[in-house]
Amino acid sequence: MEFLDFGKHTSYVLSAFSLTLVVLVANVLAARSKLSSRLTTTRRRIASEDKT
Amino acid sequence: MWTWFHKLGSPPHFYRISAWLTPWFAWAALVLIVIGAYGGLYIAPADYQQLDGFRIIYVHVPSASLSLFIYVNMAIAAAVGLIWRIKLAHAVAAACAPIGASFTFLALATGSIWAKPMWGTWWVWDARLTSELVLLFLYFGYMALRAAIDDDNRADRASALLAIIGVVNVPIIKYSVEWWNTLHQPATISKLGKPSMDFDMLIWLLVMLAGFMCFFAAVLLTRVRAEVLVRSRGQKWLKQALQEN
Repeated sequence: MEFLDFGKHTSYVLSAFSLTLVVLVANVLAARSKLSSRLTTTRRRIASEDKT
Repeated sequence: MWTWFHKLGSPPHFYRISAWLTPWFAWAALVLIVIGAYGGLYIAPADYQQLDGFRIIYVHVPSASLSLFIYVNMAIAAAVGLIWRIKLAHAVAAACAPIGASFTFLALATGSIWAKPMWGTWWVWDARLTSELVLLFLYFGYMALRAAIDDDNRADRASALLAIIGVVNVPIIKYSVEWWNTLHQPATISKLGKPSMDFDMLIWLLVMLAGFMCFFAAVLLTRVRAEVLVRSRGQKWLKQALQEN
């Protein structure tokens, strides 16, 4: 695990990079889930409009 | 130029072009961020004073730059929506807010993590930190205002005004380190001045910055597409676009 060693600042460097990763991944998941839920709702609405 | 601008403002054209552009930005972001993080963590030399602690700059500076860049984008989009009544512009502004808030939070959090070993404290009520915190509250205020108004048109107009007024905070954040005595260091990269970093360190910061920009573009396009779906309710082109997919 030498590649994760940043001397006396290891915990600070790793926590800053880990937090960044979490925020980036959360951004992607939130955007994708919003788009997919709205796509599902729109498709359902269009399908119900077509039936009527 | 104006034809292009008006064409981009049309939801069907935007919906189609954004679906094509998003994967390009997403892959570019992934490649650049991985390369930039590797370079920043393992290739860039350690700072002679801050040692390896300085490597936090590779996530802190891009987040802080993006927090300002996104706010300016949001304010411009809001102004375009307000002046020219382009609905897509309001959708862009609305999509910018949560992304901007997350990068502002990240800038504050990584700055705080960096401050502890360097300044001996997690937080000081210094001009740069306080004005960045105000930026986070501006993003929250913008989102809360939109959520509080049921009518989309009124929500667009009210939140656009807040976004435009709040832009006054951007130069305050940018120049706070020059206008007041602060613990925060001055700008690392300046357009006019010589960068205060060695090229071996700077290159990875620029790669990370480019990666974060591409990331923002990909997430923004995805969020704007979601906004367009709601705002184009009942329109023929939407039905055709969904059937084509």
